[in-house]
Amino acid sequence: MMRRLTILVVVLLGAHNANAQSIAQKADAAMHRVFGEKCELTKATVAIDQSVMQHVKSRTGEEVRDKAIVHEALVGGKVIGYGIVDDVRGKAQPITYITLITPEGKIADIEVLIYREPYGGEIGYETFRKQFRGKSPNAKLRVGEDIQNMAGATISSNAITRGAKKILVLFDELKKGGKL
Amino acid sequence: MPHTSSRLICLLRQSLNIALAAVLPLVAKAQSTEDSTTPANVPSFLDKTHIGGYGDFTYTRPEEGTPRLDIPRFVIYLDHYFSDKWAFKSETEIEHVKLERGAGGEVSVEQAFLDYHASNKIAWRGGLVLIPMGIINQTHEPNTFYSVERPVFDEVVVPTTWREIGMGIYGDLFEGVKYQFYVTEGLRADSITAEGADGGKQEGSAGDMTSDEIAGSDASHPAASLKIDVYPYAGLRIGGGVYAQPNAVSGPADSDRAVLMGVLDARYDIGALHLRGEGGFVRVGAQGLAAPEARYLSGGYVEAAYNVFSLLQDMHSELLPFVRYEGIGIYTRGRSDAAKTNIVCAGLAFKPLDNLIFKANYRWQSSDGSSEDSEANQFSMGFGYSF
Repeated sequence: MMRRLTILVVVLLGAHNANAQSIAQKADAAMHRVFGEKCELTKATVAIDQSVMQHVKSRTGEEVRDKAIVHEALVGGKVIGYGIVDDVRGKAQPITYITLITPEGKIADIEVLIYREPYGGEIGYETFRKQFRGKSPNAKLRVGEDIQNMAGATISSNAITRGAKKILVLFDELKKGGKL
Repeated sequence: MPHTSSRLICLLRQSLNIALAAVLPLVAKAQSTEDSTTPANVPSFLDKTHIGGYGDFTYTRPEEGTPRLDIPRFVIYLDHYFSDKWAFKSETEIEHVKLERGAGGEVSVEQAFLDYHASNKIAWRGGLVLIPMGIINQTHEPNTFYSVERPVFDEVVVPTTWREIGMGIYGDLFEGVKYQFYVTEGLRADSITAEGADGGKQEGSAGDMTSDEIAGSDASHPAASLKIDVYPYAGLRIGGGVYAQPNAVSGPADSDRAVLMGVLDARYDIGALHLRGEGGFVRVGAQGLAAPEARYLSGGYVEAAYNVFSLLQDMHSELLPFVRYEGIGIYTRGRSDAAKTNIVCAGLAFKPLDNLIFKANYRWQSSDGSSEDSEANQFSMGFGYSF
């Protein structure tokens, strides 16, 4: 019994060390995973105008802040992809996620960086995430229509779908405004 | 007993003070060493400690008897994150509005545990935990199901809200397959009756036996529970749970004294259509004089709901007509045939937001497949929230 307990403790602690990463490290890992290990990463804080904030709110119903930290993946000085880290409210807690976007303004992937609720973390599964790839700012991005929720995780599915739509519309506006 | 609720409030206030005291230095620290990718205006306090709750308000009108207005559950959540890995989570509930001179409702801790989230693959949980059987026991907030009352299956076969003190591990076996495994104190087998298994849950307490000398649950017959949930693709989730309690019933060591339970559940969402079902059994083994009243309980249900608002453009609220069919069978000692009950529940649920629900339904019940059991037929309506 004691031996099994020791093994369990060792496994738990081992898993702990392997996963002790900050949001910044997790965001970088997601950028590398999607845009390639060899790309160079930079990030810049972009100010968001009042008019853009209002536009995003009216199109998606979601609030955005007055600045965003935009991650960029570069190869040979050329930007091959973007990433924006954001929080969206789940059932009770914020879900921290990154939306990875192609230079054409389509979703390359989404990734949950920190999930805090006791149940519903399965929105991080590939079966759910793959539905977002290639979505443009004009996509509906609505659960029950072009996105199928994870059964038993409806609120989290709705939350991250709203979040992805918000970031996509925001990105589109920043691009149009010449901020990226 | 009259002081229980004021003691509870006092306890909550103390917990909040402790949580605040723990959090304030962290807030200061977070401001000075802010992670540059953390969005700037996420309040650090909300990041670390969260107060929430759920509850519902109901009106029930049985075909025979007095109509009732009630607040069946008023629950307060309190959780705190010591770090990204370590967390404390709790739910404290008041059932049926108030307690007075020992009568009426109930004040209880519904969940309280420490979590160590080592990784997505393995996490540890210890304390008063929910037994992972079926759907409703672990996901019981009123906005997660459409009927006013929980399915009868989730009272008679799987007790809900069923929590016991113990510990276990959970995580992703691999992507798309989750496991939960707990070792906890077990059911009081002699309280599994012809009414169902619900009376057997100990809930971490000695219940009516509590006194200055006796407190806490009877830890002499532990149980193991294991649940596997599989997600083959978005929209579908299938779960299977097993509960085994080897020495549940008093009797000779070599006799059959175990309580065994098995439950399968499935949820399938296809666009606006939501299907779900649960089915399972409880087997109470016993020999000798101390045999519990019920020896085998089984049952299940299937339910379908459709969000008709999905047919309208830009309608973000949901209106869901639903229907559920349930069958329950109870075998008591000394009888070879089961007492069978069939229940049809049909109604309408409206969700203006994900976290709010308004419900109305009618429940038809018939026993032993013969005459309609009109006394048990009832109309109910209510509303609920969670945050």
